[in-house]
Amino acid sequence: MAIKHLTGRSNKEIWQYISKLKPVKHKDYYGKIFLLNVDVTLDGVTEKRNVLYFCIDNIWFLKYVVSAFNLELLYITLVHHDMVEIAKFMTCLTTCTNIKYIISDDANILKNGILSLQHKAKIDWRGRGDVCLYQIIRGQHRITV
Amino acid sequence: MGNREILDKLLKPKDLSNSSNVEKWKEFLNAVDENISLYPSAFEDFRDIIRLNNSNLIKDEPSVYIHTDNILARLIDERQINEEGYKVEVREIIELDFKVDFQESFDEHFKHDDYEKRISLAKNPKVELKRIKENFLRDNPDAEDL
Repeated sequence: MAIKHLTGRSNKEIWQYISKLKPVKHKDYYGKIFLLNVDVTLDGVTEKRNVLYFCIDNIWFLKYVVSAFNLELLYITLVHHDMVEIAKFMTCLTTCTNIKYIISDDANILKNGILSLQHKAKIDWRGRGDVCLYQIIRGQHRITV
Repeated sequence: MGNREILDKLLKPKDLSNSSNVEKWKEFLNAVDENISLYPSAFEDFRDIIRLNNSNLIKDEPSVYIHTDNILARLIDERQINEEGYKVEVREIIELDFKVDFQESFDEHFKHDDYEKRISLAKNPKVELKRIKENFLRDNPDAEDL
């Protein structure tokens, strides 16, 4: 099975993007993929969760591999307003077309900037503590929470 | 194609001789549904799980949380992260691999691709953001500019 069938890009192309961009440090884990079964304890309550951790993080990886999934939920933190992070966020939004919800701890940048690319209307949002949930209604130029 | 099928076609346990890992991978696949979450640049942070844990933000908890980032050393090496207010303990780790053959030779088609140009763009996020924005506006002419 080739990723090509899922993403429209060849295996070699994807791998070259990933391997050429890998940083020097942390090379022991870079490029590896782990399935983690974790116990998360919060307020004394422990619950099991599955985490699929790709030790790969660049725009091309997001665009060509992660976008293959039917992804409905995106968690993004943009507190540093880092351009790389914004570019990754943009990539997720424009390539993972099934995203229905975005949860973020940074409402302003989402409200005032990036999401306006995707939808024409004003973005209404409300915080739950320091977290916001956005429900994206695609094709109707409208975002509600 | 559903997420379960995509994952099954995309990934496999690295050590296929370890029947326990193979079995756990199958169990994991059976639990995967269409409700999955992505957290890019997650580092060793589990805010996505914490935020959604027992919250009313969304109806159902995702069946899998996909994290991407360059480093996972502390979590893999120490198996535990204690942050203010929460704790994450790794119970099991299964290393996975892409279910694809990356050993093929570099073909002529790829050599003539605009690969170097794209790499250059990826290393320059401002240019990359501009490019993504232009492409999006081209494909979505009704969208507002920033």
